[in-house]
Amino acid sequence: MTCSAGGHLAQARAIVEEFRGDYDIFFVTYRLPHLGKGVGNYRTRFVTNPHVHYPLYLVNLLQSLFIMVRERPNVIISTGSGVTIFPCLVAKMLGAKLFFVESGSRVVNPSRTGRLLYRFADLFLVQWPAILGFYPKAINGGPLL
Amino acid sequence: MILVIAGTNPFCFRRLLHPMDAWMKRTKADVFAQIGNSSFEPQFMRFKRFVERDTMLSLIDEAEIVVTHGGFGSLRDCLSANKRIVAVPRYSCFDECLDNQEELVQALEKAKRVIGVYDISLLEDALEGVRSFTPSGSDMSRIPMLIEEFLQRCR
Repeated sequence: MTCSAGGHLAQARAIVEEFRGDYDIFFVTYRLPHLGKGVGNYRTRFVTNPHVHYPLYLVNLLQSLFIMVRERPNVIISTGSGVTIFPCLVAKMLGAKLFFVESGSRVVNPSRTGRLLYRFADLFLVQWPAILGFYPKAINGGPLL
Repeated sequence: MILVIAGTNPFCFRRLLHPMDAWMKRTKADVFAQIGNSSFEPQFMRFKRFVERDTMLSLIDEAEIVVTHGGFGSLRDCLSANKRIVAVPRYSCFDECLDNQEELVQALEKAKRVIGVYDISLLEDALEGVRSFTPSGSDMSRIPMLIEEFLQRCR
């Protein structure tokens, strides 16, 4: 699971908490004071947040390479935003399937991260029907609210 | 108790906090505010910048009415507790956020799940109106189930 903070993290947690099956799950996100050692009881690997300073995307890329070569996930699921771009692309390059969940705050206008990762996603989910116009191959699953 | 939630957004939400503080002073209502990253500190409301997640869920549970910014996480917590919600979206043009929250609040208001306040001068009307507001429920999202279906195919 890879996600940014705030609502993106809330949506990632909402998804894993509803899973019925048993999966080996780890999170990739950026460090925030309230996260402590990680997201809930899940193994968490931290990357830098490139949103604050765009050159940090290079650091984020190197960190993503290091993490994904070690972890080799079968599937990477992102709820956005920009901090998840390189984790997703690197994991995909190493053979993972990419699932992307467009943020539930995106009702009529798509996100930049969503538009970028749409062409790489094996499964692209949105939460409101109006946005399907931007993502013809997506599935609307309804809001995680 | 009326709970005010500004969330963990990095921007200040003075546009909501200041009038809530003034309203509380006038009405002497019992208000607690989670003010977040705010340069404005309330003079009359009880407040904290951030609280632990468990504490936030308890506060929401205890509240009669919640006045929240339009952040997805905050709205999700309040909706799942089935509270009467006044939702005030942040706008990037007021330097309150990077991405506008208006779309989500409008969609939820259309679904009769919150009362939206877009023009802050209408906040007090909403605080009155929400007392007799009964929010509609909603179906669970199919997203976790859809993901699991696809995960099975990846085994």
